[in-house]
Amino acid sequence: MVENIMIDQTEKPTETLETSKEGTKPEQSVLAEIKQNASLIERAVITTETRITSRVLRTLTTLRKRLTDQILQEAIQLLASQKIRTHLSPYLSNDMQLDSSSVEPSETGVFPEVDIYLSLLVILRLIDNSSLTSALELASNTLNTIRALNKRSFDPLAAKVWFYYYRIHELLGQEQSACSHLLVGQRTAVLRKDGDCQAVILNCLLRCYLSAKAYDQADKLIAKSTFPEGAGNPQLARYLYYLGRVKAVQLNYSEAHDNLQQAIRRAPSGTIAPGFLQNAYKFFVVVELLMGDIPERSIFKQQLLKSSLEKGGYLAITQAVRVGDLSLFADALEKHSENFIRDNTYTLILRLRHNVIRTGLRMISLAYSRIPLRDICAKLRLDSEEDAEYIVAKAAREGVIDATINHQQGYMESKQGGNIYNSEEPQVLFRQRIQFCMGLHNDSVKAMRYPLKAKDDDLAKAEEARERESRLIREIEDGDIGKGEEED
Amino acid sequence: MSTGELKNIKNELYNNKNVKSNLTRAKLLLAQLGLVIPKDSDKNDELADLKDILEYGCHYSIRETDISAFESYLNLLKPIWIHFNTQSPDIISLQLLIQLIQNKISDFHTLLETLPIELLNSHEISIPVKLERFIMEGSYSKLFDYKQHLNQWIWDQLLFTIRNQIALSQETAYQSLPINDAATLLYFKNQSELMEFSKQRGWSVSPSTQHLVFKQYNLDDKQIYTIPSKNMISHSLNYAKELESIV
Repeated sequence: MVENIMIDQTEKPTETLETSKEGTKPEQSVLAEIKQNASLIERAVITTETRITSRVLRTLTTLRKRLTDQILQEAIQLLASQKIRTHLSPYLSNDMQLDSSSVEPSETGVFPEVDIYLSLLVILRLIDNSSLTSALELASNTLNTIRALNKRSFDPLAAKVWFYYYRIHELLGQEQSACSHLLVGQRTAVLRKDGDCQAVILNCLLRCYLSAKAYDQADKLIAKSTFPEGAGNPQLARYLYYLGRVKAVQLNYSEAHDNLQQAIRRAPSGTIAPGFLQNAYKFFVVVELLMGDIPERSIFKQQLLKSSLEKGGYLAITQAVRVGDLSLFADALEKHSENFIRDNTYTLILRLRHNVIRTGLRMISLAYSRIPLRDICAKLRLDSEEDAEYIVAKAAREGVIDATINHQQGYMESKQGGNIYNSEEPQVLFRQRIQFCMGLHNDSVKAMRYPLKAKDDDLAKAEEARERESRLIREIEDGDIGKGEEED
Repeated sequence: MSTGELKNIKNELYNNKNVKSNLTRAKLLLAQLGLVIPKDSDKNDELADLKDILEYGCHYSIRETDISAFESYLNLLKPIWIHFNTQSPDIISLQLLIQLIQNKISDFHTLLETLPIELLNSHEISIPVKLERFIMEGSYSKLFDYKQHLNQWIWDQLLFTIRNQIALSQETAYQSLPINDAATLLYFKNQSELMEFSKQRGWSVSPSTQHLVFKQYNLDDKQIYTIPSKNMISHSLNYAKELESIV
């Protein structure tokens, strides 16, 4: 299998500017972990269970913090194939002076998946060392290798490489130049039904468009593409978050609200992804305000969100809208405008102004059954009585208040609210809840996995089936790549 | 050669000579030079001229009250703007106004969202932004403060859009209105205009009191609450189906 690797990079190794760190003994455990991960990946390839690879990739973040150049060098010497080894080691500082010729790795047992995994680790290391250009080079080379080999067992690994490929571009401030590559990658992923890559690349593209404020393009991309079903929750959460942002800009608040809420629900817990949750909640609060609702107080009390929402000015804005006080709103806006601009919520918050007036009006209409327009004017600090009349009329049309105006005598009269149980409202709400429960039930049924060893003969059958399947896959690959499979 | 020609066109345009034919010629040249999507920077002179010509075209089509022409000039202009990394605030301001007139509020906001902050705070852009805010609030009388900033035609169109908005609000907020007051509220100068407008919207006039009666209230009296039986049946059937698949 190793012989079949077509490596199309022949460039000279670039100089790395890394400073090496002093190695300590706990590194042995990291090395052991990498080794174990490598063997897990091998198992994943043999059993054609991409699930195992995904599990390995889940440890990436914790592993990343403990990586050093030495560990990686050692790991590469131990695990990588000959070609990849000579290719990767120049990227790392080489004060170990390992004579690569003296170590003879077992050439037969090396899987290209492991090579890719090691490349990924090196890319991470390079990013952490901020040697971005060499990281970028390695990432695009790795992607080329993946593309050339075209195996399904690469998919989860490839998705990760794509993600960091875009991340490096972002760190270099060259998001736009990554776009065309991403689009090509997206097309390939769709054609190969590669759900992992599809999800990741789609998210990168959306992120790219949003950072360039190209909402039209983002909207078109969303309309023209479907999010793959098999992708994991974190990617889905990200996708929903971007979707919510686009919808919010287009004034489609209820959809934006749904998307953001789903994104928050599906996001990993606060300890793993605090930044994502904070950002998502910022948009969520603004969208909820734009819909005319007041976000629950409990959101602002959560430990994780408290400081970011309070310092960011979102609490102040919410309070202003809740009270319906325009001057309070203007103060908060002025004080925190820099924050809002940085969070990309500024224009959304500017739209809130008329919501402030509406909430004020709603409170007045609830409190008074009949009130002169002049008093409304004074309470809401509006400039003219004439405007007040228009504003009340508009609010009545949009269903914010249920009232009529008597023009001759200049007062607003609230209608007595009818009994809500006479209307369809309870039924609609009931239906919504049932639908949510049924959706939850169906989703959980779909998500269930049954252990194969329920019965012994079942197990035998399953083994047989899997054997057949893997033989089939191998035959297909043989057709593409050539011969030379190892026995397992 | 083409550079000189473009310069000629530009000069003639600025002197208001043969505007239409010159603009058409410029568009042809744009296509012939392959500059519809500008790529390399060696034709920057031509592009700069084309930019000026197309911007002129935008203004001209507004004067000629031709919105679709304005939009086509704008579409040609946008790649050139991206190429030079500039944007002309007055033309964007016009575009925003047109979106307001057409009541495309969502497009309006999407466009605003894409503008850089410096441009957002510029005088030209601030006018449509303020107008939109007044319209959304319902403070229609404040719009008149900005009347002198706007082209007469745009103002008329804007008034037309607003009038429809006000009429919609009135249908829900009032039971009836004296004819004179309705005319002022809808910014009509005389009663005959109002009468025509009310005929279009299907409002009736009660001759004894000289009041306008809005149609919705006529309907409301007779409206009887009906049970949405079809809906209920389909939902119950759906629940039954789901339950069956679960059990």
